[in-house]
Amino acid sequence: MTGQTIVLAADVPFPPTVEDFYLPSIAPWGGHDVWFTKVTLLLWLSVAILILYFLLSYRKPQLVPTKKQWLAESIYGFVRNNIAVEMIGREGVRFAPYLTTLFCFIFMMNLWGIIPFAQISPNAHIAFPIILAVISWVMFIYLGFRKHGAGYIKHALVPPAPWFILPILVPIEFFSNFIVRPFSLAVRLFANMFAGHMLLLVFTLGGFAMINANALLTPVSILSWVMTIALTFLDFAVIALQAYVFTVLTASYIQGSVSEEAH
Amino acid sequence: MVAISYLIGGMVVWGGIGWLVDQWLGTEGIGMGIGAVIGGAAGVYLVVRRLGA
Amino acid sequence: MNIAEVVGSTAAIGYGLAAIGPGIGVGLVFAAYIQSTARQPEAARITQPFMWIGFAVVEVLALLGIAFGFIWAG
Repeated sequence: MTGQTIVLAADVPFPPTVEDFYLPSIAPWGGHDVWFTKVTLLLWLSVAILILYFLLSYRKPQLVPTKKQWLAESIYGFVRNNIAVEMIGREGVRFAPYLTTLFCFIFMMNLWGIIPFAQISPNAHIAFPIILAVISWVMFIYLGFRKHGAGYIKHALVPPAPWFILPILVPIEFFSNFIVRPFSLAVRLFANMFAGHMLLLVFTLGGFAMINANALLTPVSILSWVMTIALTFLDFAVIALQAYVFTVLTASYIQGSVSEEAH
Repeated sequence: MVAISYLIGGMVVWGGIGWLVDQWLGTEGIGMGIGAVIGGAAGVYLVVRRLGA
Repeated sequence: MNIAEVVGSTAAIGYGLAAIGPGIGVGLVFAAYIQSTARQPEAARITQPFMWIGFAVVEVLALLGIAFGFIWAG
């Protein structure tokens, strides 16, 4: 059972645990060993919403855009101009479609964390950020090899330094370019979504726990619930920022791979 | 971000190699300490070359 | 007779003491960069590399403090 479902019952398990992130299954209702849970449903929903929205809003493009078309175009224009071209340069337009997809997908997946009745982001399970980070990782390595051929190894690993220090520096470059990068991408997104969900759980359940413990604590409970609403707005800022940061960092890694000079 | 990544990366990599040397020679923490210092110095050098003048 | 007893690793206290210096140092580095940028905004590009050099040299002391705390934890 999860924190959300027990809220209606009398006794609330107060400190929320990691177990609260493992939701019961939907298709056979309530089981714990089946894979179709709310997280799966939200993933499918966000993919469906994004595909349908962009298809519908751009099916009959007009010179004077309709509202839907305007929104879709400004999202694409934002990612293309402010992320792709800004970070990568003129040839960044090539990567704008992927970056836009990445940005919209992460934003939509994160947004479920504050939409009522959904209230959990699939990105709060580390599996999703790991896959996204691995895609970025494979992509910048592939692009580097395609641009520089075998010289990419030298381009990425050998800093400008005298030859006798190189044996000390090359392992560090390898570690920070090929191990820390995907790790920090995945963990940053996961930790922000996990912490956001946990924070909302703590403040919501904490209100119930205090009101159950002593009726005199009711004002504190109400303060706690007001804080939940405030934190929801804070969470929205974090959601948008993390989608942006993930996209910008992916763009900057691509830039490091395709640039001529050593990054 | 890049600066911190180089500094920590240098200390982790060379501290880890120093730890392996410790295991091999049976010394306690000497190799790892030297490795951490070398890694930190190399990290500073990398930051200076990449971000500095 | 024990009047007071501290249980646990003294490395934690040691790291707290060791972090004071780098803390002040990093603060000074960034304060100086902000001040120079505020006085002469067009010099921001010129002074930025020196900011990173100073930051790296100071920050490595704090990181060495963490590493030594773990290596020779007593």
